[in-house]
Amino acid sequence: MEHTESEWLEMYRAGDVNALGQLVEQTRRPLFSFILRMVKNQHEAEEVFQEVWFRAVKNMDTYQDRKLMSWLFRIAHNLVIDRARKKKPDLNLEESSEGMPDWHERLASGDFLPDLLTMDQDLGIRIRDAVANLPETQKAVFLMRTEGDLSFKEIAEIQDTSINTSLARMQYALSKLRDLLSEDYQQLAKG
Amino acid sequence: MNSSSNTPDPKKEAALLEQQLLLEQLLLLEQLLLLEQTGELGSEQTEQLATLATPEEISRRRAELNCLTQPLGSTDLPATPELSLERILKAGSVGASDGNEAGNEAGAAAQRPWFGSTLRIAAAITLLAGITWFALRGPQTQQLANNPEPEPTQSHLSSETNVTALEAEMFASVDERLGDLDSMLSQVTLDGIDSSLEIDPFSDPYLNSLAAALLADLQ
Repeated sequence: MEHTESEWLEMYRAGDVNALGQLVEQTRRPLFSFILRMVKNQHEAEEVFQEVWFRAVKNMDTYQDRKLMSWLFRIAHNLVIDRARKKKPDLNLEESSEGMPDWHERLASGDFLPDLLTMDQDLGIRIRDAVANLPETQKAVFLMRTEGDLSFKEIAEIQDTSINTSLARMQYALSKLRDLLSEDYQQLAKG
Repeated sequence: MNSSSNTPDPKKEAALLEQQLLLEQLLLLEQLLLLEQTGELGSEQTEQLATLATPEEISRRRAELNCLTQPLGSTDLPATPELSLERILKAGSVGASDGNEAGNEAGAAAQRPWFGSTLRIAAAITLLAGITWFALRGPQTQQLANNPEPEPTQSHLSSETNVTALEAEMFASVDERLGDLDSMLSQVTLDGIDSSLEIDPFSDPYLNSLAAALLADLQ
């Protein structure tokens, strides 16, 4: 019989260490994917992933009734930011207008809407590559939303901002993706 | 100054305003569709969504968003053999008592229990090997004092030709003891109960008794 996340948590708290294994396995792919795409280095991603669980296990007793994935992403997000700041102390993690796509035009233009029935499977790979080029805060929102399936309320809490800001960052990210993938869009529009 | 250049063009202004409104509608439409994806759309917003565009346009925008916001897939995710449950469990069992706060990033790698334990265990084995080596060297040094010969260039421990029956017996005993120690330390690592190794490997009574037994064998 399949257990729910909260049941696994209860079992782990009751002393069943195998329950923790289940929780790790359930969250491994989205969490590791998020970390890997944020730090862009497998070795570093493994370190961060270990650190996330290290901290999570240490604080499991104080963990309250929240969504586990959201909590893990919060820890991961903070660790990634800490590491980025250590690498570049003067790094500005806030939004920058530089590099913003002309999202007004992109969004308003119906020509960029792809025909999904003929969508190339490789587009997924190109989306992934384009995501790597997003500004950090936008990339974090995009990945927490798409990989972690977090709500905008949860993302806003993690980034200590408002839902509107999270939504705006997501829209910037999407618009930048449309911009980076414009060739695909144009090709599909012509095809 | 040319005052005519400052005269507003009503038609142009109206067109700009219309364009601005259209843009705001599209942005709002996309925001609502994003909230719809996460189930965060309220009932009022659901009604609002229906007024912003035709059902066909909403469907197209929704489909495009779904396409762009699908999980990126795991095809490029490398295997993560280092991320074993034992390590994480061990991290938890030792970390719970080490007093560090979750937010304390400094020295994180050095504080990782498996990392520290590995070093401590390696140090313990090295020390024991060192004790053993010196203990073995002792009788040999005495022999050499009575019967001086050139120092062999090969390591005494690795030289099979110089091993006497007595030394072979001693090596076997040492190997056995070190095997016990290695096995015990492996068990300690897996069980995550190496708190006795945190300060000084030789403060552990069992390790001490092993070391004493080793020395006794060698004397």
